[in-house]
Amino acid sequence: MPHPPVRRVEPPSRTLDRRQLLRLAGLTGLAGTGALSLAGCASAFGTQRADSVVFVSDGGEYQQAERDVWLTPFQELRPDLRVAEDVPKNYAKLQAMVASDNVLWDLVTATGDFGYGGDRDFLEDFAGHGLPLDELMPEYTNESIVGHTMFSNVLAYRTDKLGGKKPEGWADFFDLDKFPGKRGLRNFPSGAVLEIALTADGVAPGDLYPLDFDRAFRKLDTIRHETVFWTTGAQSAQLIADGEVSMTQVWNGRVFNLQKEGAPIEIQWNEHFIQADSMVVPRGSNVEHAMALAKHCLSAENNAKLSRHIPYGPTNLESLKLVEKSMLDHLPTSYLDIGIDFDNKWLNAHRAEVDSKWQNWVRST
Amino acid sequence: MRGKPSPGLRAYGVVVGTLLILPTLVVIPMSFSASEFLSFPPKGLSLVWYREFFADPVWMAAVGQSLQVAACTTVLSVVLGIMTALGLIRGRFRGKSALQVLVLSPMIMPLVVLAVGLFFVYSDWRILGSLGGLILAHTVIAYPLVYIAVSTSLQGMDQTLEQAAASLGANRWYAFRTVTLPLIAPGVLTGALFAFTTSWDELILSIFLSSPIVKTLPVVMWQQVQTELSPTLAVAATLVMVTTIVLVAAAAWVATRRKVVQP
Amino acid sequence: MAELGEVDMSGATNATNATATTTGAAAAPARRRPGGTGWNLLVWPALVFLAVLFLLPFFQTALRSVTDPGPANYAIFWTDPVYARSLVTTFLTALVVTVSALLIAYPYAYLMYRSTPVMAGVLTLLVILPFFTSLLVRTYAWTVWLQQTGVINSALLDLGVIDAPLPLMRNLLGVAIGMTHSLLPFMVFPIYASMRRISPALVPAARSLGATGAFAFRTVFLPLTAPGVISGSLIVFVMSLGYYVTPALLGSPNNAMLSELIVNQVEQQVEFGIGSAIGIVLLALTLVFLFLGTRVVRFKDIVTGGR
Repeated sequence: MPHPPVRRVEPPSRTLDRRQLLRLAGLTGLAGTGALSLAGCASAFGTQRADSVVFVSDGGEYQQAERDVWLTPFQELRPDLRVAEDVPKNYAKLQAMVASDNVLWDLVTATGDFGYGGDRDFLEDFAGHGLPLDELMPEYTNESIVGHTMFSNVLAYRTDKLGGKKPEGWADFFDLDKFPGKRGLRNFPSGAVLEIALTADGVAPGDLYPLDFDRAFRKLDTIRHETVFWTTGAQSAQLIADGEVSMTQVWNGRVFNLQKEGAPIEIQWNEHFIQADSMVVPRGSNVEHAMALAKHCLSAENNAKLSRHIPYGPTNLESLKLVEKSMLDHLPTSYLDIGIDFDNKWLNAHRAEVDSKWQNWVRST
Repeated sequence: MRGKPSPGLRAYGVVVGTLLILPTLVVIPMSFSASEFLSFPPKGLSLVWYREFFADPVWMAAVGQSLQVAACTTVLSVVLGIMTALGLIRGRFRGKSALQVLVLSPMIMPLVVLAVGLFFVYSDWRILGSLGGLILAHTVIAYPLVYIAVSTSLQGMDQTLEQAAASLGANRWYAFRTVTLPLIAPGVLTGALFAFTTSWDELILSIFLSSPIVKTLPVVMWQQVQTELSPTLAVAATLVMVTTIVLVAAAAWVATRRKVVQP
Repeated sequence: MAELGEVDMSGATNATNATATTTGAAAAPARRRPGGTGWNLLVWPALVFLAVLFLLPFFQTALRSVTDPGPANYAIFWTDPVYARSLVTTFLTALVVTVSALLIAYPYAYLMYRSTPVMAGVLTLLVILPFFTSLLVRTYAWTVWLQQTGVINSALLDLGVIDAPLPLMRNLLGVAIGMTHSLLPFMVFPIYASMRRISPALVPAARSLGATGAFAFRTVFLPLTAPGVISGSLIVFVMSLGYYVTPALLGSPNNAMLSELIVNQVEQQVEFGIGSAIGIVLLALTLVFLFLGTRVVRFKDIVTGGR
C-alpha cells in the first residue's frame, strides 16, 4: 500500500507537471481528432461517381414506380453498384454536362422529341450492349433512344365542381361559360399545351404541324386569367386533388392513384395526346452501368411490371401480353383510336422556336 | 424608470410573436399524417411517414452527408474565424477596414450569384458534387458569423490579462490557450453554433454544387417540394427544425450554466 | 444574422467579459499597445480563402457574362421586357418588404425596450427562433397557410366570410409575407440596439419640460433611433434584392425576381452567359445600395446591426 502516501508527499511542481502532461495528452488527442477530421474533409473532394449509376426521371409516383419495379431490384442484383436518382431531367443540362465533361447522370428518361435530331451527338449508342432492341416499338426507338413507357396527356376534371356536366374534349376545357372554374396547364411548350389549344380551336389532328403559334396563343389567351400553370406532374396532381382547379391537363398515371383514394376525379380520354418516354445515355457517363440498367428495365418481363404500379403502357411488344387485365382500362394503349400523336421530328427541329415563343407568351401578362 | 408598456403595445407583442412562431409549427402535425398527400389539418394520425423517412436510403444518405458537411464546415469556420478575428483586431496593417469589409461581405452578397460563380469554378476543378466542395462553399458564408461572434468577445476582453501571462513567462501560444481561449469560449461556441446551423440549413449554394450522389438534406427537401409533396417532406422539415432548436437550446443552456458558475 | 450572435448569447458573453475586464484592468494597466506583425499573419489564410472561394467565383461570373457568347448577354435587359420587369419587381419587392418589416419591427423593438429584462429576453427569443428554423421549412409552412385550399382560405370559406378563396400567394402579397417574416430579425435588432443606447431619462426629461408624451417621443426618441432604422432598412432591403427560396415558392412565375431568373437561366435553360449577366446586374444593384448606405452608416454596422 505505498501509493497513497507517495502521492501525498509529491511536490507541488510535480503535480503541475502531471496536470500539464495530462493536458498536453488531451490537447494532442484533440489536435489529432481535429487533424483527422480535417484530413477527412480534405480527402472528400472526390465526386464518388466510380461505381455508381444515376437514373434520372420526372419524380413523383412515376419515379416511385420506376424505383420499385426497376431500380430497387437492380440494386439487389448488383450490390457492387450504387444506384442513385436525380430529378427532374433536363436536356439542356444534360448537354451542358457532356460539353463540360462533368457528367453526373447515366441513364436519363427522355420524353417526346428529345433524341430525334442533332441532340443525338450528346448521347451514347445503344447498339452492341445486349438490349432487346428488336422487341421494342420501332416508332419510339433509334440508335440513341429506346422507348420504355407509353403515357398520355389527358383532360382530368372534378366531378364535384362542374355541376354534373361532363367535358367532351379540349373545346370544353376552354369553355369557361359552360364549365366555370380554374384550369391547369403544363408550363412547357413541347408538352402538348400548344397542340391542346389548337385542337380546342378546331384544328384536325393531321393539320397540327407546322404549329400555328398565333392561333394557339390566341386560344390560350381566352382562359389565361383562369389558368394555373404547373411544371411537375406532382403539382398537377396536387392542384386537382385539392380542387384548386376544376379541370387540368395531366399525365393519365397521376390521376389513377387519386381516383383510388376516392377523389371525385374523372379522365376524358377523348383527344388524348400519346407520348413515349425513352431512355438515353449521356456521352461520357458510366456507360457500362447505364446499359446494364437499361437492359434490366427493358426486358419483356420487367418492362411489363411498371403498369402494375402506374397505368402507363410498356413499349416492349412482348410485354403487352404480360400486362394484368384489370389495368387495361387505364392504359393509354387501350385508347389509341381516339388519341392524337405528336410529330417528334418536327418538334425536335423547331424546339428553339417553340421554346422562345412559349417563354415570351407565358412571361408576358 | 421606463414605465410599463401599455396594454395595446403588449397585445401587439403577443400578436407579432404568435405570427412569428405559429405558422412554422404547422409542419409538425402534418408529419404525423396518415394520408398519402400533404394536407392540413392532417387526415388521421400515424407514424407511417417517420418509418418511411428512416427506411429511405435517399433521406438517410442526405442526413449523413448534411451532418458531415455541417461538422466539417463548423471546424473549418471556427479555425478560420478565430484566426481572422485575432488578426483583424490585434494586427496592425494597412487596408484593415477593407479586409473587414471583405470578410463580412459574404453575409450580404446575393447568394444566387455566388452559387453560380462557384458552380463555374467547381466545374473547372471537377469538384462539382463533392463533400469537400460543399464544405468550402458553406464555410464562405458560415465563417463570417464565427468571426463576428469571436471578435465581439475579443473586443470585450482585456488584453492585459494575456500580457500579464506573457510577463510571467508564458509563450504567446500558451498565453492564448490558457487565458484568451477560455475568455472567448462563449463567442466561439456561439459562432460554432451559427456555423453549424448555417451549413445544416443551407440550400442555394448546395442546389448548384451538389450531385445526385452527394447532396444535403435541404437539397433533397427542395427537390421534394418541387416534385413529390409526400408527408415525408413534413417529417424532414420537422426533424431539421427540431435539430436546430435542440442545438440552440443546448447552447443557451451551456451559456446560462456558465453564467451561474462564473462568480 | 450577425446581430443575433450578440443578442442571443449577450448575457453569457457580457457576464464573463465584465468580470474579465474589471480584473484585468485592476491587475495590470496597459503600458504599450499590443499587436504587430505576428498577429498580421493570421489574416492570410482568410484572405487566400476568400480570394479563391469568394472573389474568384464573382470574377468568373463576370467573365462568363461577357464571353459566353459575348457582352450581348446584357442586351436582354432592353430587348426582352421580362428582364426589365423583373428589375422593377425585384426593386418593388425589396421596398415593400423593407417598409412592412420596419412598420412591424419598430413597435416590437419599442416593446422590447420598454419591457423588463426577462420579457425582453422572451421577445428576443420569439424573433430568433424562426431565424434558426430552416428558411425552406418556414417558406414551405407558409404555403400550407396561404394557398387556395390552405388553412386561412379554408377557415374563411367555412365561416362564410368569403365566397371564393383569396389569392394569398403566387403573388407579391405571398412573397412579402414570407420575406418579411424571415427578415424581421434583421430589422428588430438594429432598432432595438439603437433604442438601448438612449438614456431612459431622456423622454421623461423632455416631458418634465412640458412636452406631451407624443411630442417627446417624436422629437426626442424617434430621431435618436434613426441610425438603427437606417441600418436595419438597408440590410433588409439589400438582402431582399437577392432572395430566392421565398419568391420561388410563394411568388408567381409571371413576376419573377432577378434571382429566380438567374436560377432559371442557369439550371433550367442552361444559358450560363445570360444567367451570369443577370447575376452581375443583381450584384451591381446590391453594391450600389450598399455603397449609398455606407455614406450614412458604416458597412460593419449594416452587416452586424449597428453595434
